[in-house]
Amino acid sequence: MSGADVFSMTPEKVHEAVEVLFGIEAEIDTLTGGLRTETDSAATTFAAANCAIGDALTTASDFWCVQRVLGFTGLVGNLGEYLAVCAEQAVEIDDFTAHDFATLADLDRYPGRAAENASARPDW
Amino acid sequence: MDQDPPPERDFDEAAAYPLMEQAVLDTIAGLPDFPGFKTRTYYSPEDCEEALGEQYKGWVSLEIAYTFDGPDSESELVRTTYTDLLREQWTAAGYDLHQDSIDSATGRGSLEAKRQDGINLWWAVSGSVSLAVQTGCIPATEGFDKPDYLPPAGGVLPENDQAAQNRMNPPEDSTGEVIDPFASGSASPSVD
Amino acid sequence: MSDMHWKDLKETDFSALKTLADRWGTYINDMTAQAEIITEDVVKKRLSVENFESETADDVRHQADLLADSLQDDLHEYAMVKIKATLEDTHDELIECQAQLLELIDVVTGEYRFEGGSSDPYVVVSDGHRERIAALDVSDALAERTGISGFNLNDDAGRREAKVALLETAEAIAAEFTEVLKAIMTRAHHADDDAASILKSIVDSPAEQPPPLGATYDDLLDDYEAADAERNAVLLQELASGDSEATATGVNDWWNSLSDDERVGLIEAHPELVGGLDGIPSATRDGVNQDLLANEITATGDRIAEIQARLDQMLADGSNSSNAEEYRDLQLELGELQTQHDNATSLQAALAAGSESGEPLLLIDFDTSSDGNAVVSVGDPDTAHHTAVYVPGTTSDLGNVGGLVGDASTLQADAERFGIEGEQTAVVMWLDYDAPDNAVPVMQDGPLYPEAWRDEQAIDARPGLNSFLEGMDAAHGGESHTTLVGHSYGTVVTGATAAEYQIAADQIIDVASPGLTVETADELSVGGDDVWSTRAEGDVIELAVDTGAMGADPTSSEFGGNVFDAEAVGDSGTGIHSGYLADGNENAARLTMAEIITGQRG
Repeated sequence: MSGADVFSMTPEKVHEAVEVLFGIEAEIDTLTGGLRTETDSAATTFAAANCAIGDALTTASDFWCVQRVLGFTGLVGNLGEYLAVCAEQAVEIDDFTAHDFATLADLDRYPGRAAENASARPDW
Repeated sequence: MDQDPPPERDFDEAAAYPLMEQAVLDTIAGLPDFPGFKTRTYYSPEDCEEALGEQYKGWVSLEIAYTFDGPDSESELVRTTYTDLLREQWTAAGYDLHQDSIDSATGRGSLEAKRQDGINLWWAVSGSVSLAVQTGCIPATEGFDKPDYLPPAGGVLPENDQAAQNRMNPPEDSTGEVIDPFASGSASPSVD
Repeated sequence: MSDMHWKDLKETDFSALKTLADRWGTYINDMTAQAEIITEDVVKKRLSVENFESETADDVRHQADLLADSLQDDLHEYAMVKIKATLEDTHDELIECQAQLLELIDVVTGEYRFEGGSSDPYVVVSDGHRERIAALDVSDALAERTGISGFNLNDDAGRREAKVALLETAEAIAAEFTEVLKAIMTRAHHADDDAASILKSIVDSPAEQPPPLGATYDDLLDDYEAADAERNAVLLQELASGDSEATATGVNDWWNSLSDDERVGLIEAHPELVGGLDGIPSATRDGVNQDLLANEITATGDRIAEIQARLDQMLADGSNSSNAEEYRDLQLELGELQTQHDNATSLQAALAAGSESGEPLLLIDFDTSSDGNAVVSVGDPDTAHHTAVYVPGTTSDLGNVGGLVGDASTLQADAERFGIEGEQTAVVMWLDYDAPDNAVPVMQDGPLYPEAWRDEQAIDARPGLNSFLEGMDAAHGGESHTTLVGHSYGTVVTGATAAEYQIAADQIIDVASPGLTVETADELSVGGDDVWSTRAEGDVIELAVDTGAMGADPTSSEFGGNVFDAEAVGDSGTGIHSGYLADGNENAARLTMAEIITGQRG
């Protein structure tokens, strides 16, 4: 099996890269979730003390923990899913969709990352 | 401001460098089992007018220094034996031993002696041990930029000869041979 | 907008801001580690060319690098600069306000009380205090301020008048406390509002993130890379202009987070900003600044020749009269250019002279306009075991930069000569301030006091020196040992900076100082045990020391620092003053300074 224009590939190494990327995705979710809880708690305290920094912290936390980090983890997942497909079948980058991961990737290699997760993602 | 005229000096800037190198050779000749220096440094000539006033316009002071390597600087021979020998040697030569701040407990400090020709010898025992030669103020030599190559006084490898690298004209035969530290007589420049 | 009431300021635990800032710091480190896993583990190992080779593989590796870079840029711009730094700054400010408020409460308790809302707090006389005034049972201080001894307390009328007067005085004091309370609350509101403003600005124009792999990826990638380059350029401009909240340490973090290509892109597009920015590695700044200096010499030389030719022509054909305005403007431009050109060539000559020890001279910063500024290092401070930052004094400018670099070179060669083998020392000549032009009073409609008799130029120099030290510390690859060395007015600069900031230096040496703007060495942030002072007998600076205008004599026992001897090199007060770093002459102070700089003293 090969990628779109592959001259050489060690599929096992590509699979390992996918696993690392999915691991990063999960780790960042965990790290950011904990940070968000603590930041929001502090924001509530300062808002109750009539400090403007309270609401502003909530704004900043929402921006970072939701918008920014979710954008990033989505991209890491997208890269991992493409590589997972690439290890099985040639797909041009421009032709790749989230559906490909659900249908072409070896999903047994990635327990916990069911195909329905992929299908729930926007179709890049 | 003190407007006394500068004192008479026996040599000028151009003549000073070989004289200073000879002073180093003379000094180490009296040091037994001399291990050789590691580095040689030439300081930039200092304009005397700024510190001493207009009467010193056109006068400079020069300084060159030799430093032992780390192990030799830590050795009893260099730190203590040589210090004691130099104190005796310079006193016997009639030099003015005007600075002796060597700490008897730590062995650290400075030993300075001024020769009759005004050249100051500065032996410093610190993290490294070094010997410097200072001219005090002497007349600058008109049109003089930097000295022609003078071989280092002993043990200094070309890659450690900072003076040769940027403070003197390159040697005509730049083969970069190591100077035998014990052949100081034959390798020395001489001023009669 | 901040609605913080004085009770909120009193009762809120603002240490939670610092705790949260530290929490974000830990998070940033953890997230940076994730970005490094992408570049090191994914790109360089698992997806190495040996394992995965094709154009697609190249694109995938590029995408992975973009993701890592993007995360690091985001962590710096948002998490570090806008959130963590804001939390820290706000914590410091509100803790200070809270302490002032508690102090005020301590002073007024029992006699006065606070009233009003968050926007109009005020202080009134307490009921208990009114009762005591009615009973004429008041403190000596209130009685004295009221002038109670002037009233006849032996009759009713006199007592009534005294009570009225005492109450008026108490209300006047309450009004004074109101002003203090308002000032504290205004400062707290500003800190709160400023923090809120910065935190909320995070959502303004968020930077693009890399595109996902999928349809139209190539087009989106081009757009993203253009936007990313622009983002870096904007950030660089904000950092250079001081508009950013980032410190020199933040600059260093940001610079390190960039890819090699991004750094090259910024250097090519904005060399003048990169060359002048504290926190960027010294070797990088040197490369940029050496090119800028050479280009400036060429450009100013060409323009001078052009203007000179035009002026000659105008003089020859008489148009200097008919076009007098143009002729005058050209003459003015020629004068400024000539100054700039002379400064630039003087600096280039100083660099070309090399160092005593053979260590390279790094041009870390420069500005050739007016008197000119330069920061030149003998050796690389980012890799040296020991670094000294030498701040010269009055009359220092680019016209005599050769001598100033020579002084630094002497200090550096001495440190190598007297230091421990294998431990390198770099010495930076820091002339990035407007040094006084004169130290001698002149008569002009009365005595005109020289610049060196005032501390304004030292005060102005403080943020720049502090930023430079911080940037150098951040750019250093490991544990650094730094000594701040001042000579003459340069010691006023070093003292004023160390009194204002917690400077990134371990020790201070002051040579021939008129004073360090403080009364005791302990007021300097390096601590009194690490302050070293020397002054040779007969130095003309003694006249300035005696005035006390710049603070206490640092060589006095009352000052509380360390003092070491210097021999008088020179035979006049002014000569001695400038002879401390003169090589070729006897001066044991050079050995002492080298030992301090190389960590062999103290």
